[in-house]
Amino acid sequence: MIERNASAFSRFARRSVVGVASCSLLAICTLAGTAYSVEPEESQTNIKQQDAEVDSEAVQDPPPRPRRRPEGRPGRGGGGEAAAPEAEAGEADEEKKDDEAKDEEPEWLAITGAIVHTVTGPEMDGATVLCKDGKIFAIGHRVAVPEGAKVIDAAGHHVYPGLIGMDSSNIIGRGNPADTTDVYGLAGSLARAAGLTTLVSGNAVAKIKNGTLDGMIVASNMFEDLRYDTNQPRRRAEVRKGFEDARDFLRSVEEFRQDDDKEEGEQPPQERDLSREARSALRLLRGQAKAQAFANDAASLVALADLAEQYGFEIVIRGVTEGWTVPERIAQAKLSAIVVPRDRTLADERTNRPNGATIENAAILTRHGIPVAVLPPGPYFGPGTGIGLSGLGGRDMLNINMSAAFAARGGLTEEQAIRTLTINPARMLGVDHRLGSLEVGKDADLIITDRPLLDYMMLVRYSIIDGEVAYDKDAEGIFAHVRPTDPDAEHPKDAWPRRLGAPW
Amino acid sequence: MALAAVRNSILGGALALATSAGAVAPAYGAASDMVVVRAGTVITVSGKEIPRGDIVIIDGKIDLIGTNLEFPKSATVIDARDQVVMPGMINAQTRFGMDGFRRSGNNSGETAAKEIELSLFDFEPLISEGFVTAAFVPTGNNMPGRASVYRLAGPDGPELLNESAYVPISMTNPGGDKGQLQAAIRQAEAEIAKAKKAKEDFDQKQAEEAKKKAEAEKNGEGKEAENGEKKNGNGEEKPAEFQPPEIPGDAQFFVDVLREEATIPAVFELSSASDYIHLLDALGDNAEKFGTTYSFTSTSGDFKEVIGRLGEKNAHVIVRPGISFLPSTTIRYSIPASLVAAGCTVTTVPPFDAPAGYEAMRLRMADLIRTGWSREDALKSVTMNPATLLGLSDESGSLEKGKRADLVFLNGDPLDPTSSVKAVMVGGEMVWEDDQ
Repeated sequence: MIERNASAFSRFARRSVVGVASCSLLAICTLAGTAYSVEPEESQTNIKQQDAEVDSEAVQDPPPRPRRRPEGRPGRGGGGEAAAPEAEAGEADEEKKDDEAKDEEPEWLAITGAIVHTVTGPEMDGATVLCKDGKIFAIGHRVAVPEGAKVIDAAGHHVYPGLIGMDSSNIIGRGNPADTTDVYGLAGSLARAAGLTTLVSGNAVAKIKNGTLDGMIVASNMFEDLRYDTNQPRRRAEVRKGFEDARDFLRSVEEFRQDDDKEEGEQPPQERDLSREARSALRLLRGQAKAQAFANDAASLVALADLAEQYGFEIVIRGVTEGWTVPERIAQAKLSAIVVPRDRTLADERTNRPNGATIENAAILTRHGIPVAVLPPGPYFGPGTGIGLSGLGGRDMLNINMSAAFAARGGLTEEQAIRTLTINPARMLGVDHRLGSLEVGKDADLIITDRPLLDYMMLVRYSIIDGEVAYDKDAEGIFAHVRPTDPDAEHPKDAWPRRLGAPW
Repeated sequence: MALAAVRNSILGGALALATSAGAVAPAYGAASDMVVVRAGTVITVSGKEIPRGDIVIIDGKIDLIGTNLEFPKSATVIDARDQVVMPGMINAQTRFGMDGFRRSGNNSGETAAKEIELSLFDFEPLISEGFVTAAFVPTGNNMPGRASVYRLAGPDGPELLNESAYVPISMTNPGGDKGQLQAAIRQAEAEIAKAKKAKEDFDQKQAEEAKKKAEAEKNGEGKEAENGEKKNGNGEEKPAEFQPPEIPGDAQFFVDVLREEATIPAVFELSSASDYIHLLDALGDNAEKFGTTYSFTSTSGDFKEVIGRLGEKNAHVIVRPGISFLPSTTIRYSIPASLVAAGCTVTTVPPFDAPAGYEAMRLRMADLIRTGWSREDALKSVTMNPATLLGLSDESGSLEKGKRADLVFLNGDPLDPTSSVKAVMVGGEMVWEDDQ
């Protein structure tokens, strides 16, 4: 995982929030200030008590299956560490005190009055989401807003977790996004306007930060590419051999460990002696990474399922066009799928089995318990990749919510469709401890929309990343003039004004 | 050489010399040599503009600037009453003519001067646009080598003024440049650690030896004279001096910076606002030590995102003049004016590094003045400010007593695009003249 130095940027990062307080807050709800702000005079000590009650309100959804921790995060506490927690707790308390002493005035951000879609918990109408220093601090109806907090009155609006795009689409840079991203780029603004807050680039998960690199990288090195195409038998044999070698290696390591009469100076088997395929397989077998594969036809999908079952590792498959023909096999092998609901691969009628694409794909896979994420057609099915000014027609990431809406048209419930852009991709990437749903303690990455996420007229009003406003429709100018908050307001002077109807 | 020919062509030039040019050249350098330039307007840059001003030059240096001066009859008078005289311009960053090497990585120990073979260089495209001094930067990526400052012409031809003026560091391609910069810093840190360890080892060794000696002396008390002699012999040995381990040339600058002993600045090349964020990220805790001199290699309007921050640090910024637009808009934005308003010092270099760019420079600057840049700041940005950056402010950059008489003669205001350079003087001697 890539550590970033916080000190250099925090000062500037905060400044961007200051602008929010001054800009006109939403004034749509007539009930503002009545439904949710309980006893604003209450002292801050009471707030925490309330929060304790509130926390239980956001019921957490247990993960569907045991998740392996990616590399770089502390490992699971084994039996030998049973004595440690108490001592750790003591330390943690001390740390907490230190933190409080260091930063006496935490950054509070409250979003009040909105319909809060927690994704893993209940939907709450008129609830408050309180963020503290970039993390979600409380969600509920009886959350008091502390003094000095920035408040976004989002009455009548919807709050969702920030959307996760499973493709970088040139919005964030290639390679290590923290080295290659244009943090002031237009593509980033457009992506935030589309509701995206997190993207996958190569082998890294990165937030679409505005003007800073601080905290950009969420995870890295979480995938091993698995090339197991049916039309490359030699390549498949190499992959299988890699898995066998990795399995033999693990066995020999274990044998060496249990061998009581080792000779003096005898070395355990060395990883560096393995082939590239075997080293890659080793990471998969140890659960340090998931496999990432690209497969569309039923034969390839079944082959991947067999491999995963035989060796016991997880695969995230992109494409999965014909997944609907073999959902049982995919579900049995516990694979995940990144599908394109608007895929239009025609069936070959000469084939003696069901084939081709269907809009029901995501729904069928989900019904069988397969985690599904969605992508727009651009990245994998022809031109139109990425967010571009020519892409406003809808093949690109700018309309990613419509891909989920198409999945819903194919049979997913609305809740399930929202999951395909939030918690499901977060789990596939192993970042669901921070992203993918609105839960206390997770990152304050959320979007405030004027309509339900799957509505074709939906526009993002605010996008919040790490508790800071990273996109403000009124200030950014891209969509400011489309159903404006204040019809009489002047178009922002220094913003992108020219593409969606404004006169030249 | 081209320049020699230029000098000779003064004979038939449009400038009316009071004495024949043939007499000026050989007499140059004599103690009593006095040249008087009678200008239409004198733009001193550091002070007021002087209409109908006279510049008295003795021994190639400016002695006096004023109006209605009296001077001895023996003085060489250059009558330029129909012309505007300004200080010779300084090009703070050019790679003109510098081809041949494509280095990458940390080469900060190299200098441009090592690559420049003066006999192969023709500086006329620069001189004919009023550039008297230029800092040449080696070609290459990442940290290609130090900039070397040349006076492009003079009584004895071009002259190297400063072999290492600054260290250009590219951040225009953060994907590659960040890693190289961080590697260079790590290397310097390792060198510093090595030197520290060597010093500690040395001190420890010295202490041990001193201890041994003391013991030996103790034991040796009342022993034979031989030992005493030996002891004396030891005593006469001068104490060993600490020799710090040698630092590789390419690491030297970064070691100096980290020790806060650097005498020359680093100039970071940025092509967009995002590059600045990546630069801060790459420098980490060392950002303060590296100073605040930047070179904007593009006129991208998104620089507005960081100009405020650069202003807080009173940064020195090298810009290419040109009209910018706010990102994805048709709204005009002046980078130099914003930089000055924010508190930065601005140096201008030609919009692109070729003769056509040198010709376009004053036109582009005139454009920027129409969009809010002040005339004074514009003139300083090609004279005084680059002189400060390159460490030449004692001798050039403005017309003041004691500075070298590097003058540019124009047939109109320098910031009027229709005017052109008619002649260039270096050290009191005409080195170039427009022969049209």
